[in-house]
This record gives sequence, C-alpha cells and structure tokens, in this order.
Amino acid sequence: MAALQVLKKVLRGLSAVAVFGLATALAAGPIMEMYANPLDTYFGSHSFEIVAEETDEADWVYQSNFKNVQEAVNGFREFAIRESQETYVLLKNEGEALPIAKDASITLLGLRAYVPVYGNDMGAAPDKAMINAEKSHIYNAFAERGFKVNPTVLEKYKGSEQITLIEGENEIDATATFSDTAAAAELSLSDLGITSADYTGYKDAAIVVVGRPGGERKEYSVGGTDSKTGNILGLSQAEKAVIEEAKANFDKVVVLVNSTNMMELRELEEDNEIDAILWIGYPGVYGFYGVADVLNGTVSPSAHLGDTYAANTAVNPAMVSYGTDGKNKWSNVDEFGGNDNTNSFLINQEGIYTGYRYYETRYADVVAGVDGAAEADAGTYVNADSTVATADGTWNYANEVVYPFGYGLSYTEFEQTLDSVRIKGDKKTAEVTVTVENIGNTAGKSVIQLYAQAPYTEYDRANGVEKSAIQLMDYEKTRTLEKGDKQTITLHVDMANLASYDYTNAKTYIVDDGEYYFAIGDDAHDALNNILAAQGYTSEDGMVGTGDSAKAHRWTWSGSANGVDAQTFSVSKAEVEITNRLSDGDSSMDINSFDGYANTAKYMTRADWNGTYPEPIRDLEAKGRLATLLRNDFIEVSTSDDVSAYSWGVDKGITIYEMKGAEWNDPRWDDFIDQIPISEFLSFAQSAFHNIAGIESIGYPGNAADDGPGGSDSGKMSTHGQYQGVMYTDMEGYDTKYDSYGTRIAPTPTNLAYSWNKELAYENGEIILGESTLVFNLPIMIGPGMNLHRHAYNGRGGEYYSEDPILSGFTGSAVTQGAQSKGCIVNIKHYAFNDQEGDRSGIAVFMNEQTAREMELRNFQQAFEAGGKPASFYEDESKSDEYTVGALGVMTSFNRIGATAPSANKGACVDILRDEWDFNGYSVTDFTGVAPKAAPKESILYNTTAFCGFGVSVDYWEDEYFAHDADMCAAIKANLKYILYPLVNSAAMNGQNITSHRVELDTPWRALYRNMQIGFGVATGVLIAGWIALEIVGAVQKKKEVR
Amino acid sequence: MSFIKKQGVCGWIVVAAVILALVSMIMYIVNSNTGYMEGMGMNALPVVFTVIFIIGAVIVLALSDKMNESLSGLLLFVLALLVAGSALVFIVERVDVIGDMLNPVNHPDAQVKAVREAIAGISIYLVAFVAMVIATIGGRLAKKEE
Repeated sequence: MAALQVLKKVLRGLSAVAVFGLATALAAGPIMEMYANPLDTYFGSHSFEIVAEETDEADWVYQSNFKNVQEAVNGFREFAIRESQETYVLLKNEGEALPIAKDASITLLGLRAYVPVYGNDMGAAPDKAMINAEKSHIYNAFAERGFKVNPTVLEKYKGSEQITLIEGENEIDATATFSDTAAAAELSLSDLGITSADYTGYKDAAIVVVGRPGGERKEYSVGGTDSKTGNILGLSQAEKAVIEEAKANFDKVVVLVNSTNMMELRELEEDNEIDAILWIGYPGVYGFYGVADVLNGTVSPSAHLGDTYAANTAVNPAMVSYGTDGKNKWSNVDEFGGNDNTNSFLINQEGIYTGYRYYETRYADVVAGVDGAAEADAGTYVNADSTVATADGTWNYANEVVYPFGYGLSYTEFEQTLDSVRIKGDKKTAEVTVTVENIGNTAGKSVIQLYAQAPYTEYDRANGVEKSAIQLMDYEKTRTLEKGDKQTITLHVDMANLASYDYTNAKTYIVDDGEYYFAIGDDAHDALNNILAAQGYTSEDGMVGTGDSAKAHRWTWSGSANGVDAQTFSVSKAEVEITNRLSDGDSSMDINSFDGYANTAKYMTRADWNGTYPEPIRDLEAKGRLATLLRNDFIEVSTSDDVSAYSWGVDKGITIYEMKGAEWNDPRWDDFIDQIPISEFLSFAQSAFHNIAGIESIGYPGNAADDGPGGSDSGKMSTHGQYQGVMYTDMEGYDTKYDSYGTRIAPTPTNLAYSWNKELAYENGEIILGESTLVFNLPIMIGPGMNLHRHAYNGRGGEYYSEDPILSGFTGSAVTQGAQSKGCIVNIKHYAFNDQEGDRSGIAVFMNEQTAREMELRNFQQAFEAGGKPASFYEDESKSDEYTVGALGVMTSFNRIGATAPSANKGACVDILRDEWDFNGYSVTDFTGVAPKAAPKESILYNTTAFCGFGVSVDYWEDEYFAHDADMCAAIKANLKYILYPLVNSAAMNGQNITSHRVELDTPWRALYRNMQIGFGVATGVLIAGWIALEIVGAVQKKKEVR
Repeated sequence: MSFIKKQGVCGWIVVAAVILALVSMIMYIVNSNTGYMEGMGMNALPVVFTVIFIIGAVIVLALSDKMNESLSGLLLFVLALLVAGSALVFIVERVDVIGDMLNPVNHPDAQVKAVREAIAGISIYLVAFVAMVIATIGGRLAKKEE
C-alpha cells in the first residue's frame, strides 16, 4: 500500500513534467518552422527543396564557375589574393627601398605584426577559423612567399601573455575598446624580452606594422591619447618606441599601415629613417600573400588612396558635428519614449566640403588669393607639427594634408598624356582619351584619374551653391604595362556628375556659364595643380608642388539664359523632373526649413571660409512638426476610401515559376499580383533576414539571404556548398576541413576601392557576392556597403569605400553589376547617410539638399543607374548586356534621413530612389522587426518591401487595417512587384521551370520536435492514466479498510 | 495550529515556489513594459496564471490540514501547471526577440539587456515549476499531527 502511494505521487509529479514537456514540444513546432533557415544553418540540414519535374541546362540561367568544392575553395582563394595585390598603396619608398629580395631575412615588429587586423568586425569580418585552417597568418604568408621571418622575435611575441590576451579578444573580431588606447595597443619590446641580439641574421629589413581595428557599432573618440595630436589615429608613444627600435637596429625600415580609418602619418612621412610606408588596410583571409607579393616585387603596387590622409584628423569642418559623448543629444530627449527611437541630431554644416573637397578647394582659393581664404581662427587649422593651432593664424595646405586623395606610388614610372577631350553635342557626356606609357623599368599598372573644375560664380555665391575646386569625374586602370609599353584609354564621362544642385533658386541641377577644366593627375592635388598651372599660377602664388598645364584642358560652357543652364540636367535618366525633394516638408533634410529652426544651421561657404567654419550646435530642442516626425507615427490610414480598384487573393493560376525571367512591362504582372492577399504581403514583409518568407498564393517558397558586403555570413562549404542544386560531392573526407570555409575572404571594401579598378570591382561582385549566391544558394546578399567616409572616425568605415562619391559610386556600381550577373539580388546599404555608428539607431541627420545630392546620393545613384561602366566594357561585345539594369535591392539605414525614419522618408525613398533613379527592386529596412521605430505604415506607403529581423510589435499589422486606404493598397501592389520583379529574374529561379514546386524535407530539428511531441504525448497519457489508476486503487482499498 | 506552524517541508517548498513565481511575474511585467520591449504590448496570460497560482497556493496551504492527500495532490498538480503555463507563455512571447539574436548583427544593447532579463525571469519560473513538481510528488503540505 505504501509503495503504491509513493508510486502514485511520483506519477503525479512526473505527469506535471510530461504535460509541460508536451506543451513545450507543441509550441516548439511552429517556432522552429519560423526559424527554419537559421536551424538549417546550425544543423547543416535542408528543410525543403524546390523540385522541377523536367529540367534541362537552359533552366540554369546563372552558372557558377565552381563545380566542386576544390574548384570553389581554390577559385575564391585565387581571386582574394589577386584582388589584394592591387589594393595596397605605396606611400613612401625612399631610395627604392622596396621591393626587397624574395628571400630576404626580415624581422617583424609591432603588435599588429602578430595580431594584425584581418578585416572589419561583423559585416565584412573574415573567419578566424578559416585563417587558422589555411595558416594564412601574416608571418606564415610571408614565410610561404620566401621571406625568412625572424623566428626568435616571432616566438617572443607569440609567447607573450599580452599577445594571447589581445589575440583572444581582438584578433579577428577587432572588438577593441575604441575610446581608449586598447585599439592602439602596442607592446614594449623590452617587456617581451626582445634585444638587439635577437635580430641577428634577420636584418635585411624591419617590417613594422601599426594598425587600428574597425567594425560595426564601433567608432573612435577624439583626443585623449599620447599621440602627437592627442588623437587615437595618431601613433602612440608605444608604437613610436617600436619604430625607434627598428630604426636603431635596421638599415631598412618598412612600415605597414593596417587600418582603414585614416591614420595620421606625418611623423612617418617626414622621418628620413623610415624607408617605406605601405598602406595595407585590412587584407582579409589571404591578403598577406598579396602584401608579400608587393613587398618582394612580384607585383608593382598600383593602388591609390581613396581618402585624404590629413595631418590632424580631428581638425576639419565635418568633425565639428561629430560626437558620441552626448553633446548632440536633443535637449528634451527625455520626453521621448523607447519606441520613438530618438536620441541625437547630426547637422552637416560643412556642406560639400568634406575630404579633399575641403582641403583642395581652400588651397585653390589661397593660391588664387581669394580674400580671407588663408585666415583661420584658433582651433580650425593645423600647425606644422600637426597639432591644432591655439591662436588665430594662417591656413596652410602643406600643414594640413600628408597624403592627398588619389595618392599612390609605383615601382615604375608612367607618363600620362591627355590626348583629347570631346564634349558631346548635348553636353551630357564627354569622351576623354588618355595615353599611358611605362617609362620606368618595371612592369606595372597605372591609374588614370580624371578630375574637373567648375567655375564658382557670382550666381553661386548669391544662391548658396558651393563648388569644389576639383572633383573626380572618372577613372580607369591600365592593364599591366611592361617597360616601354603604352595603352590608350577613352573615358566615357557622365557630365551629370559635374552639375551642381541649386536648392535655393533653380531647385534643380545647374551648370554655370564659364570656364571649365578637365585635368588628369597623379592625385587630386596634382590634378588641381595642373589646372592652377593652366590658369597661370606658380609656386610664387603659394602652390604646394608644381603643375603641368599640358595635363589640363579648358573649355567653355556658354549660351545659357541668364548665365545659368538649369535645363540640361533637370531631368533624370528615367526622364523624371529633378527638383527639390529634401528641402521642405516632412522629407526635408534641411533643419532650417522646419518651423522654429530658421538659421539653425549655418552652412559653410568658400566665399567666407573662416567666417563660416562650422560652430557646434548644442542644446537643440525637438519641437513642432519635427518632434512629431521623430515619434515615427505621422500619417493617417483611411478606413473608408474607395478601394474597389484593388483585387486581393484572386486565383489566376499563375505561379512564380511561370513568371521566371519576366520583364518589368510583362502584361501578366497585374493578374499575377492580384492573386496575393494583403495578409501574405504582411507576412512576407515582417520576416526578412536570414530567411525570406514565402508567398503561398503564388507558390513562392521563400529563400535564404545573408549578410554582407564581404561575402556570406553563415554559408560554409561543408554544409552549403553546391552546384546546380546538388551538394558538392567531393566533400567526402574533407567535410571537417571545410567546416570553416566560407566566402568572407577578400580584403575589406575600402581596399577594393583603393585599387581604382572597375573591372576588379566587377569581378569582386561576381565572386564574393555572386558566387556566394550560387555556391550557397543565397539569392539575396546584403551588400555592398556604400556610405561615404565623411571623416576618419567611423569605426565601420572599412565596410564602405571612400570619401568620394564617384570612386565609391563606381566601385559599388561595378560590384553590383558583377553580383547581378550571377543572379544575386544585392541590398546596397545603408540608404542613406550612415556616417557614424554612435547613436546610429535614431540619430537625425540633417544637411542641405546640395550636400545630400552631390555627395551621398550621387554615390548611391551610380549603383542604381548603373553608372561608371568600365572603358573596356564599351569595347567588349560580350559585355554589352552589362550596366543595362541598375541595382535591384537596397537596405535602408538605422539613422534617420532628416527627422523621419529612413524608410519613411518619401523624398529619399520614393521621389529620388524610385522615381528619379527608376529603382524597381527590393527595399528592406535594417531595423529588426516591424517595430514602431521603423515607422512601419509610413515605410509601407513609401515603398519599403520588407523589414529585417523577426517579429511584429505594432498593433495594426493586419490586412483590414491597410485594405481600406487606397494609397496603401496602391503601395502594397507596387511593393509586391518591387519584391517579385528582382526575384523572378534572380538566382532564386535558377534551375526552376513551370513544373517547379516546393517539397518539404525531413531534418534533424524537425525530427527533434516531432519526437518530443510523440514522446511527451505518450508519456503524458501513460503517466496520467497510471496516476488515475492508482488513485482509484487507493480509494477502493481505503473503502475496503473502512468497511 | 497556526498557518506557519502547520506547514510541512512540502508546504514550505510551495511557499518558495510562490515567492519565486511572484518575482518572475514582476520581472515579466517589468521586462514587457520597459527598455527594448516598451510599447510592444504585453500578453496578460503569465500574470493571470501566476495570480491564480498564488491565490490557489495560499488557499491550498491554508486548508492543507483539512484536505486529503489525493485532493491536495491534484490541486498541487494543477498549480504546477499554472506555473509551467506562465513560463511557457513567457518563453513564447520572447521567441522573436531572442530569435532575433540569431541575426549576427544589429541587436542594440537594450535588446541584449531585455533578453538577459527575460532569460532570468523564465529561469526563475522554471525553478518555481521544479519546486512545485517536488511538492506535487511530496503531496502532504501540512505536518502530520502528533
């Protein structure tokens, strides 16, 4: 009896556990299905496949280069090394210190020589495990290429506890703390026990590596360090001590700059005992092979800086508004709730004068003797020793800039000749022909940099139109030219990129009548000097460097009404009128346009450099309409519109596979989309990151997608590698080896831009993004990243290309074209204006419309309008289909555009992106989930097609809410086409035909929840039955005992 | 006997479960209405379940010496399921935000904090459930009368 009592109690307790287990298992089923793609990634499984009854080769529209894992791994590796060779900038090479012998005995010095930054953290981070598997660490790569690397010093670094600590925490992930010196960490050689005796036998050269890590959600603070300028981007005392040790013990000292944030290099540049400086950025998994190839002369360096390297990175107009320490918070930020996602403001008062546009334009005005151009107040200019001036004085270009935009040396010499300039009749395009001759002794590639100067007129001064004294118009890179070899290249110039945006008077793009110049040059400063020389200026006028007037071409723009041509570029390539979209109303980016904010921003003008040098704006209160916009809820949705024109969920019998390859104007689109109910659109839109949801009514099964600019986040050869729908079959015996092998292998995007090679960028798009799509079956790749480098302090800068909209825009456009040639839907990010990570989610970014359009938007525009087609593609018939369709995907930013959530800014997202640029693709937010901060209903209305992440946290996310508002209905119809048009033309349809359908597959995780349901179900039944039975037995026995 | 004096070991375990469930419920409410989760709405079921559990537990404890073992065991079983239900709904309600952490980028610090709070709250609910299972197996809440 007692035993039965005990058993009954145990059964009762276990019944509770079993019921809980059953409920958990039942809940787990749908939850796990929701997360099918991440679970598949984790388990290496496939939860469904698309089966076509009869397929043939023609169904495979997009062909991978790699038919098996060996080809894939070797192909990616080969490209990564080849790309890397072109991305390293030779900044200094005294006495032809480089190249060094292939078998030179070298000593590596400096923390970053053992713990280099291989890549940007997060979005473009190379996989540490892959580096370990490939043994492609800097010292291994150097040794493999033939260098004899000092083993004694290597072991002392490797044996250091500090190295272990830093390596573990910081090596690949680059999670250094950016506000302190950890990011500039360096070790004392004496602490490491390294003495001069350790260098014996390895003294051909000291290779010192200095660097700074970078990554998403990271950014640097200004000041507070022991560098010459006090900035973290300057060399710390500890770094300089290592360099001094190298100088004291080696005849040849080479410094590698391992940073994509622009470091302050004045001290290295001026130091006669530093023989060579090579900028290497972040080389990626295999990039140190390329570094070795450059150091030993296997290839001549051919990269050029895509940013200005200033003496003091903290002293320039853009940095005035930079801040992460709360100084730019709205003064009444506490009045906003969590859902408002409101924190700071960022007002770009510097206008277009960032990077070289500031330094070179002010320099040109100083040389031209413009009144007041050289006058500078304390704190706004730099002394000869790079420190910030503390008294009013004279602005001096030579003090400000160490290496100008476009700078880069080679092991050989090139002579470039400006052969001809031909402006086409409609003035919308020009052809510029340049001949390059290798007049040195070594084979190499040369970059043609074509710049322009537009006149700064009285009209411009009167209407606040700013002009840079020099601006990049186009560029090309030669093939490898042997000694004495020549190549003539014709650049096809889009003159729209020369036009200025006049937001105050003409309210469109204008071209002033006057004298214009095209100039080639070794860099922006050299090209400007060539123009100044053509204008008659000399060193007596204060020119820094000399000019060659033969490399400049002058022409005149004339005949416009009132001296201003406001017609030629007032209509976009899509034939849409271009007018103000960001200067007033809810979409405005000009804070001065909001009620109560007149004259808040005082935009910098070259008419008065010193007088309009920006001053910080503090204690700004969010109020009025601006405050309403900051709360992310600013449109009303009608409940009673006439929506009879819209049909939803009407079966027309058209599956997505029947639409494969459909043109934008295909007459079936309306019927096709009418099949989809609003609820399915909402379901699709709410879940769009690693698993793009399906749309049942049209038979769309959903797809995988992946971040990011540097290749696939999660795809691995061992679990995802496939060719034409069949998993790689040569994996046997290698599956463990390939566990870590992915496609995040190439140098970081900044490196790619510094190659100044459009064809290489196209190939990067084909392989790093496009082949990721095909090899891992990822039709959507979240990249490339195309925000501009507004300053040196954005920790995420390595994920983006350059400070210049043309170099960045053409690089991004080439990557996009290459990726799309493989069926990849790119998601160009982050549209737009993400130039600081601090407070990135919610920061309100303001600027005038000229700045917006001529800088960040001109940059994005190239990718969406397929700009920057390489000269070689014009001559190659096999490339005739390229650059005919712009980008078909975009990801909006975290920061606000003006006061609105980025995806809810009609001016930027509809008027400019969709209409002017004719963007007909997929637009996804970066915000996670359908959350209030993403302004979901506003975003839907303004043609956002999906929301990154999971979950819905607004109460209106149901079809009835949207179904009675005619504008919403129209937007959802449009959005569905924007989703489906790229999809039916992408690799998502690869191998499919009209017979295709989805078949669910069993997976370990499905077996897990199914077996849990069965197990706990049975257990629940048995245990409860047993418990009840024992209760009955007990009751009967008790009754008997009573009797 | 007084309420306190009459409680046996299982009775005190139930008291502990009540305290733990109360703490969890407060954490759930705070987690649902502050920080990252603020304004995203709160499912009332965990609160309802927990309140019923607490009231029920107090009644069962108060009447423990007047109930036979089978009845108290059945009630403890039901009370255990209420705690389990609270935990389960809490879990389901946080699947999105926790699942979003699978996304390797883009989760703000507030989200990480919210997830940590949620995991802590869920864990405490689960400890309360384990306590109730132990009490359910024990069955007798009140001390045996001497």
